[in-house]
Amino acid sequence: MTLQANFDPHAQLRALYQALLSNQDCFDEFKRLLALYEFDPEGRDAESSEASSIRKTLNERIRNWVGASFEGLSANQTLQWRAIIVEERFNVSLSPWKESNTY
Amino acid sequence: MTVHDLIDELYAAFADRLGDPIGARARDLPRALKLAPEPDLPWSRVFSHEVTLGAPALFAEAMPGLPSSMVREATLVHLLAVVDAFGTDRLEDQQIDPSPGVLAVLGQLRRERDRAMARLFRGPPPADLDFSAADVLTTSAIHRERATLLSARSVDVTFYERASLDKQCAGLVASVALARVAGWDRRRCIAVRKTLESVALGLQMYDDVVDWEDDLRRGGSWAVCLMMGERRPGVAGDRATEGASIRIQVLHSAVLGTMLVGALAHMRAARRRASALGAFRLAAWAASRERRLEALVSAERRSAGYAVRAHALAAWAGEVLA
Repeated sequence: MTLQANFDPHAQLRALYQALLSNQDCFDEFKRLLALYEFDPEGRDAESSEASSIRKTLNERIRNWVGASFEGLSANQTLQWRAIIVEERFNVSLSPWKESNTY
Repeated sequence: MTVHDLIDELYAAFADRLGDPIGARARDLPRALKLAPEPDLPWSRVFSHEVTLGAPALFAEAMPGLPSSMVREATLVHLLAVVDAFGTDRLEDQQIDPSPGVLAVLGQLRRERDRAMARLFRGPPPADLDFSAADVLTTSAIHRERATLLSARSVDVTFYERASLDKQCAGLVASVALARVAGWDRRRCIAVRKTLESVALGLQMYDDVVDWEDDLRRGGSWAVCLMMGERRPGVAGDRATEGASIRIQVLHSAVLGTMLVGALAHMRAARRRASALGAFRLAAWAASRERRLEALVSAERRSAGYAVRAHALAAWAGEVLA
């Protein structure tokens, strides 16, 4: 599956968002690769070769989904995505009996 | 003053009246219940929907001339009742430890809730608005839910909705009480209750869709139980299996879409009743939820699991794509 993306970084992120929204397989693979990505930017200057390899694989997969022009996620962007998708740190809205938002 | 401001003011005053150290524990209750990541967050930051903790204040729009003191008392009753029910659920479900501090705060919540109710009615409340019955029903519903989810047995929508409403029954009392003291007749008081029941079911069904995998990891998911209930006997077994297989089964069963359709129907009913009662702010909120659910139902039909993914990506989309 390839979605249309152009060189506008915002449009590229929107294309990635649409790919993740519309396809369970893309979402699952994205989440699985993010879960494997481990890098503590405060503990060291550069990501390990293993982390770099995972990010490279992740970006290749994203290009398959949204098009070859996708610039790729930086280390910081990958960490941000990981915080949202894997660690679920940013979903804090609640309704009366929502039980999943535990800290 | 917004409803959220009123909620925070009422709870802060309640905590101040308790005095420290229990007042400090009351202020930190959202974190103690594992609903907030940091200390002393106001309830308005924990619950995004005004109706959750401020329902009576929203119905008060339809009761012109009612003294603001009555609206404040009813909102305090509602706020404390819902927070107590939340805490009870966390304790009964063993999601938090029954620390003496939490138990003491919940006890104070119930006492102040009952005192505020007595002030609202200038005496003991009518038997059908006494919280003792609601407390018993809430606890029994929490136990029934736990047993059902752990067994992963099949249920139908009627069972699911009854279980959900029983668990949330404490959140219906204060708004009906306010309608009663405002002089509303029986028919309109029933309409208030039914409006809130629809709101509760609409929100609950949506949450049970977007959190179904998290719920399953914690012990059980209503989506799985409802999927089992939709199966014809003898078709594909009568028990769900584990892991990836169960996810495929849920996605292929379209049960998530069915639950979203249910949520949409309830939110539509809430909007219509709130509008007919003159609670236009509540009706407008329900209408916005209705539009969101319509979009999700449509997308879920096109791509199973859409609502779960949209929820997972919502915070990011709000920050980056807005």
